[in-house]
Amino acid sequence: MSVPPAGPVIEVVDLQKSYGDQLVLRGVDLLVGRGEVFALLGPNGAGKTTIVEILEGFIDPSAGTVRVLGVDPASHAPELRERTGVVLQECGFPLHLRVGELIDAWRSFYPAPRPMEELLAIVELTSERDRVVRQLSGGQRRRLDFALALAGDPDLIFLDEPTTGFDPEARRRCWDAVNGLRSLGKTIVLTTHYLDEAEHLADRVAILRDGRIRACGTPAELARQAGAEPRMALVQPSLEEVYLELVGTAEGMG
Amino acid sequence: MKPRQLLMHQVRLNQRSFWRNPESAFFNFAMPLGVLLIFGATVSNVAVPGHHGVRVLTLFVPGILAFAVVVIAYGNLAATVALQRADGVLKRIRATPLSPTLYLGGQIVSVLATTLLISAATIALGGVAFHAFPRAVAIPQLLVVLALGIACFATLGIAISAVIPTADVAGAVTNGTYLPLAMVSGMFSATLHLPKTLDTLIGAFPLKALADGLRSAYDPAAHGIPAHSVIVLIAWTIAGFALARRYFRWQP
Repeated sequence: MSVPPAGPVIEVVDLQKSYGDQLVLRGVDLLVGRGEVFALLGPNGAGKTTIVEILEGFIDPSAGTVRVLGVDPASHAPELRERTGVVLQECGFPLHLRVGELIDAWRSFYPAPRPMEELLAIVELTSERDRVVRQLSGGQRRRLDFALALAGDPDLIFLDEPTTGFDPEARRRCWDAVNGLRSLGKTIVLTTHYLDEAEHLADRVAILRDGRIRACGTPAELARQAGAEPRMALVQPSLEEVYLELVGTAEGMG
Repeated sequence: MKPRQLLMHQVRLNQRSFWRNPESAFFNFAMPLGVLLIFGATVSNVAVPGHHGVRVLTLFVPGILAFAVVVIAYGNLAATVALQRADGVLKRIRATPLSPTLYLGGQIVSVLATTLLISAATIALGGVAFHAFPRAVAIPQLLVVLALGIACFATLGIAISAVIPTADVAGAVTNGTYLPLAMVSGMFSATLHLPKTLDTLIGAFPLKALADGLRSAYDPAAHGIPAHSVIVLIAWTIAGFALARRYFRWQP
C-alpha cells in the first residue's frame, strides 16, 4: 500500500463487499492523507462507486475496517456528513428552484457553510443565480452539483466522476476549482474514467480491477513501476499505458 | 440553523417548487375545485331524507373537501416523493446532514399549508356557488377533522411512495389506490347507499371516515365528530407512519 504524505483522513483495511453471491470488493486497503487528492481509476464494475458509497456511509461493508475523518461511516454518518461534500453520479435537482435558492438551501444544512458568492464564483454560475434550475444546460447543472458539494465547506470531498458531461472548457474550470480546493488544504477523493484527469489532478492514484487495487501510488511512481518492466523504448510510460497494462482493456476510458 | 428554522426553510422551498410547477399547481389545486363546480351543477338541491331538511348540496360540498385533502395530502405528496427518489434528488439530500425527519417534516408541513389553502378555497367556492357553509359552531371540529385527515393521508402518501417504482407510474399508482375508494366512500355523493356489508367494509377505510367527519361540520343534525371517523383516521395514521418508517427508501 502506498503511503500518504500526511496523517490519514481515510483508512481502509481489507474492505469487502458482496451482494448475494457476487463479491464486488475483494479486500481493498487504502490510506488517504490530509490535503491529498486521491483518484480511484478503473473500468466499469471495478468497484469504484461501491468504495465511495461505503466511505460516504451510504452502504455498509460486508467485512473490513473503514475510518473516515476518524469515525466509522456506517455508524457515524450524520456527523460525517457535516464534514464531507459529495458530487454523485446521475443525481437530479428540484428543477423549479432558482440556482441561488438551491445553493442557499444546501448551505442551510451545514453548521459553517461557504459564502454564497464564493460558491457561485467557484463554479462560475454567478450570472445564473436567479435562473430556474430546469433552464440550465447539462454542463451548468454539473457545475451546480459541484457548488452543492462545496456548500458546507467540507474537509473531505468525494467527487464521483465530477466532469462527466462537461465540455473541455468547463472541465478545465472544474480542474482549476479542484486545484483551488487543494490549495485550501481540502482532501479530495475522486473517481474518474479520464486518465488525463487523474494524471492532472491526483497526488496519488489507485487502479482498481475486479474489486481489488492493482496498483497505488503517485502517477510518477506508477509510471516508474511499469517502466521497470522490459521495454523497447527508454521513455517512461504514461498513466494511460500503465492503466492499460494493469487493466488490460480500454473499457471505461474516457 | 436551528431545526425549526430549517424546517420552515424546507417548507418555503417545497412551496416554491409546488407553485412554480404549472402542471402540479393546476391539476392538484384546480381539479377538486373543478369537480366541485361540475358535479355540484348536476346535483339536485332537494332535502336529504332523514336529515331534517338539509339540502343534498350542503352535504355534497364537504365530500369534495375530503376529496381535495386526499388529492393533495396523499396523491401529490406520494408523487412528489416518488419523483424525487426516481430523479436522485433524495439521494442527493441524503448526502447532506439534513435529517430524514426534517426532510419529511418539511414535506408534511408544506402539504399541510397547501391542503389548508385548497380547503379554504373549496369551502369558499361551496359557499359562493351553492350556499353551502359549515356551521359556525362546528368550525373547530372542521379544523380538527381536517388536521386528522391531512396527517393520515400524508403519512399514507409517504408510505405508498415506497411502492412506486418509477416516476412515470406515480400518477397511476396514487390515482389507482384512492379514486375507486373515493367513488364508493360518498365523496361525490351525499346520498350514496351501499349494501350494509360493503358499507361497513368501506367505513374501515380513511376516505369515508374523512368525508363523514367533514360532513358532520356541515350537517345541523350532527352532534360533534363521529367517533368512527376519529378512530379510523388515527388508526390509519399510525399504520401509515409505521409503513412509511419501515419502507421509506432514499434510492430507486
